[in-house]
Amino acid sequence: MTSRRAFTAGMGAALLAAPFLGLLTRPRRARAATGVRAKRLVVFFTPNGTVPARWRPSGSETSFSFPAGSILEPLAAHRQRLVVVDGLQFVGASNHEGGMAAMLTGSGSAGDESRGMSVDQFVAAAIGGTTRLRSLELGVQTSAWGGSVQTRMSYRAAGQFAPPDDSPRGVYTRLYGDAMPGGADRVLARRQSVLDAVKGDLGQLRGRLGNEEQHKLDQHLTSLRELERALGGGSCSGGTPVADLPIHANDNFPAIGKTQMDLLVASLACGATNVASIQWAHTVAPTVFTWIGQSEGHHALSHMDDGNAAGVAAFVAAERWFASQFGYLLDKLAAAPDPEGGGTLLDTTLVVWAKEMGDARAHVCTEVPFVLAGGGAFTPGRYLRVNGAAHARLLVSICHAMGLSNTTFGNPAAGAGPLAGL
Amino acid sequence: MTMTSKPTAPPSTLHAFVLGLVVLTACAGDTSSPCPPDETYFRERVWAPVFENRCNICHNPGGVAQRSDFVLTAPGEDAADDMGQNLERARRMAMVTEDGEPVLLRRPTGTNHPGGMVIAPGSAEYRALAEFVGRVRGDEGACDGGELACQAGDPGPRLLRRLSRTEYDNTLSALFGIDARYAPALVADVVVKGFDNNAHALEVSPLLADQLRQAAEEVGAAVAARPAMACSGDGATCARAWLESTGARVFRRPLAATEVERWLGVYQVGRDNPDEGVLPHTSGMAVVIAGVLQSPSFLYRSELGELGADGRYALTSYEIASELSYFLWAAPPDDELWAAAGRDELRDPAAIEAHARRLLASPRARASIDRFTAQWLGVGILDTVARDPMLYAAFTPAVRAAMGEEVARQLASAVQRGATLGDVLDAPTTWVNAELARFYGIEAPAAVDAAGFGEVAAGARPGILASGAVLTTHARSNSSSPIHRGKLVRERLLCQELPPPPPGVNAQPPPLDPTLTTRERYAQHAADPACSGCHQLMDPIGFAFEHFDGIGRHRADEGGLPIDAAGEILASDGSDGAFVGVGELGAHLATSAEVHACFSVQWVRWAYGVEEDAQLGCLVEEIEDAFEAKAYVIEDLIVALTQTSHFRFRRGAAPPSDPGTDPDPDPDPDPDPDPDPAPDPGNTPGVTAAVTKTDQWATGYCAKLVVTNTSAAPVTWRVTVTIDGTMSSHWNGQLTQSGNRVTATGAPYNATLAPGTAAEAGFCANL
Repeated sequence: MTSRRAFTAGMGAALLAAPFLGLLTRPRRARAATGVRAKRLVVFFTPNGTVPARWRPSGSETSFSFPAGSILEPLAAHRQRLVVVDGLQFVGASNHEGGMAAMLTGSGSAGDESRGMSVDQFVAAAIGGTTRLRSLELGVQTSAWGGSVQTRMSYRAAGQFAPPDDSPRGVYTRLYGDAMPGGADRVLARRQSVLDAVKGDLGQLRGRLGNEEQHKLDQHLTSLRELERALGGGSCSGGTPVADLPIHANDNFPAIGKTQMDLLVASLACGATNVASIQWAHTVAPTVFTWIGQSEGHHALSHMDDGNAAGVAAFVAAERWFASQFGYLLDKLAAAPDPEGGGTLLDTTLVVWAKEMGDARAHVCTEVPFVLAGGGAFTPGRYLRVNGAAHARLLVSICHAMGLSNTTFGNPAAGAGPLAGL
Repeated sequence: MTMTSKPTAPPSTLHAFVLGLVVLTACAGDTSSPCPPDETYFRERVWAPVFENRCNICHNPGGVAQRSDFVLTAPGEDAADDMGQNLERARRMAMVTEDGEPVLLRRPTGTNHPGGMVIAPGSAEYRALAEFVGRVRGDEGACDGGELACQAGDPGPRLLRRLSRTEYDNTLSALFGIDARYAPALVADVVVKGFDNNAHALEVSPLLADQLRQAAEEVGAAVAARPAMACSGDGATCARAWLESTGARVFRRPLAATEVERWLGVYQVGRDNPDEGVLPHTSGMAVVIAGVLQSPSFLYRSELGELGADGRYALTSYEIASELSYFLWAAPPDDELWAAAGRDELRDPAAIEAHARRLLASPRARASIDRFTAQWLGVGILDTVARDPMLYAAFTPAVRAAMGEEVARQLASAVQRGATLGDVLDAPTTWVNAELARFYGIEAPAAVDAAGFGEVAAGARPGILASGAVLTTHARSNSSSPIHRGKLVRERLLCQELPPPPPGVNAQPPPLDPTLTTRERYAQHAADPACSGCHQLMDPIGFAFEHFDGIGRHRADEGGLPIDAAGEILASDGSDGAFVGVGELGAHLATSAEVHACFSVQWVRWAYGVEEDAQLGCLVEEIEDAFEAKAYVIEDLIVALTQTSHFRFRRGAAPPSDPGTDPDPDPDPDPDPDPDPAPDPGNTPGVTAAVTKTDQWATGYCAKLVVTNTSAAPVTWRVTVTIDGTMSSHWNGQLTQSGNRVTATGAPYNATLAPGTAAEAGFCANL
């Protein structure tokens, strides 16, 4: 998967060298708004935009509420933990595919400061070296249509997806491993010898190639290095085995999502990773919310215009269900102690609820809703109206909250610096 | 003179900056081109083949793009004047660049273009625009028409083609006689233009690497435990024999001596580290099997060839054998192909053709043809597509399964009977079992085969487009959908990509209304100029399908309302026409050269795993011509794909570059502009040590220490290096730090290195 932009030097060419120098010679940290740095990052994605008028809270920045029947109302109990950001736009992107591609990348390319990576992967590249898994991407029925710009939100590099694992059983195995307690070092020895031989084969093959296919093997080699580290670092313990649900059945959507959220929290709690994401379906998802009595697909409902009250109500009901899933995740994080002591996982984890469009009926990426929680980096309990600010600035703020110091994220044409007022 | 303008970043102020805002600075008449295009050139080489059908739809004074910088006027009363103005607008767009690329090429290929990608890079339309741009700008070679023209005989690039999930399962099954079903648990393959076997898109992510490891270990353990794998003599000898026989089938070519040694080393480690209760030899074989199944020599199909005197790379017989078997069976070479490869017989086109026809005639060919059908027509999602259970209670899992088999057989039987594409589009028969016949409301087949399927008269549903699978997957959960069906024909039969609805347009599907037919519900698409530009390309085609509901059942009327199934194809490249019903649509498409050319393109994508780029485009023309020459017999089209130069040769790429000049930044670039920690001279003689940082963050880093034996004898190594910071962890070796020096020796399995081999340890450190 290549994109033209991946090979054109962005306007931030001068910035290319800067972030690395900054990290190496002057490891200064950007100041998050509260001076506190979040230790962990979680991205929570739900598809098909929103109906802004039914999403936005009412009130002022510090005194706001969720109107009765609105999409965020199921989060009322969490209101004082949240930062609701209203009015962000994706500069230069629109529509399902464009929004999905820009949502976490800010439309960056290889020559930009963020190197075309999505914010979760960019953060993971910086802080993921201390954990066994650099990051963990979880999915809920993301891939019936295969891998594509529509079904992927995370990018390890420009044009290179970081695909999610849609299988709770697969995730469980990666977290808790399968090595027998007594023979762990023998298993490791065997696996390492295989990895060494495979890398030898890769190197030999690479020597025969021209430019194009070398890139492919280099990516493969990078993947093996990560695998090597993940295998060598031991595993978590004490997990509850997960049920063997058919993971592609529409009606299992809620059960799979819940299990994935449980595993996500477990992965943070046992220190397997500090960067995780959960992707619910994908843009244009046709998921039918049968568990709340619906019979039309989510994408179809997202196109109900204001003249169709029943249709909009159905879409809002689906979005409220997603809000309650977000609430579940926050509850689980708040109930888990921080493994390094003092407080809960939610205290030290920045959770970001992202969507790929604003008003779904118009396919626009203006007024794109974002909800933040936890981590300690941003003063909680606020409703920010940012009047068309570029969402890339929010992505910069997220990076700063995690202790990074980049000045732009994605295409620098969207502006530099963190989001004012956050 | 070239005028360029780059979008400039506003100085840190926050305002909505529209990417792609381009200042038009080109001056009319200001060109030093020796061959500036005149109106005749423009009309014949740009307007007619490209602008008229691709751009003018939206880029006209009343169309969706009316407020853009590029508005074209269809020639009216003052045709010469209109065309002159269009030429001028096109010239401007050719002169202005964005990020170094002419806007006229950039927008239609999808960059900053609300219409999306309407012209594929490397396609004939793209070449036409590129030639126009070259002539406007006076680029070298543009006036010859030669530089951008198809280079006949260019065989295409060397490739490594990662096995798709399905190919992976098929390969394991063939190699080990198992029923491998790992595909659903593996990361989904990236899909390009509907196909999951695109060479450039398939890669190995960290998640996939882990999943492949798990699968390989499982297969290795199971196979190694078989009675036939027991060794009566020396284990290493048995392992060597296995590598040289089955191992060769795993790599789809004989192993080199160094490879055998490498994997024997792995065997030793496995033998020396068995799990409790496992025999050492079994453990060794399990690891070897698991290992070779993770090797790139297994995971990638090699289409690299060997450099010949003519500068082209000639694919080996083994590579050609794999090309044939994966193309036609989605599986590794069978014994007959393997033997032919061993005798180096497959470089001969006649031999290739003989094997191709042999493979096509086998029932195993369905493994590939069926996947082509499912992906070409987009019916692969039939198993999971959701339908309103109250409205469509008759749509049971058994019906779904039967529909899938029906549509697959419609193409597969045509291939094996020597039928034409026309025979498929306008077929007099179809394939049903009793369940499906009952569902369709037709008589069950008189004679059925072992699978329960029999051939029946097509009746009210002639042709593959009228099969239940197509009608269902291109519908909504609670109704038929003229848009989806029209889009299918447009994109997969006419090969015209359609843009998504532009932002700002209300795209609500019209609500179900029992007083209106589906056709009437969608009337706004034709009435509203903001919609009609694009929808006229889809809806009129889709209306012809209206006698079939959302689960493919035939209906005489729509809830008592009469159905008007009159349809039309507009704005195509020779397929325009009117028809009533799907039968007439199929018959109409069967007569279109454009449809046959598109079908060839789909097969090129499927067979070669590439999209047409500027060079492969010539091969597509070669295939299209061959298809025509063979009177459109599909079997002959498929065989023709094995007869091109691409199948036996590849073009020589640039010599392998060293990492310093790799134009594509490594996804994990070594972020260390400082020199790597210098190895200390305190190393065992005969080895070199190198430290490379692999990950970097504010407070620390991780690195790999690679120790290479450069001598001619085995060495038990010890090295000392200088590093930054304090080690926090290490692996694959014994590393101890004193001050800023780290001394390293190996782990039991890599402490002694054979000549020319390397060991890799790793460590992380805090700064």
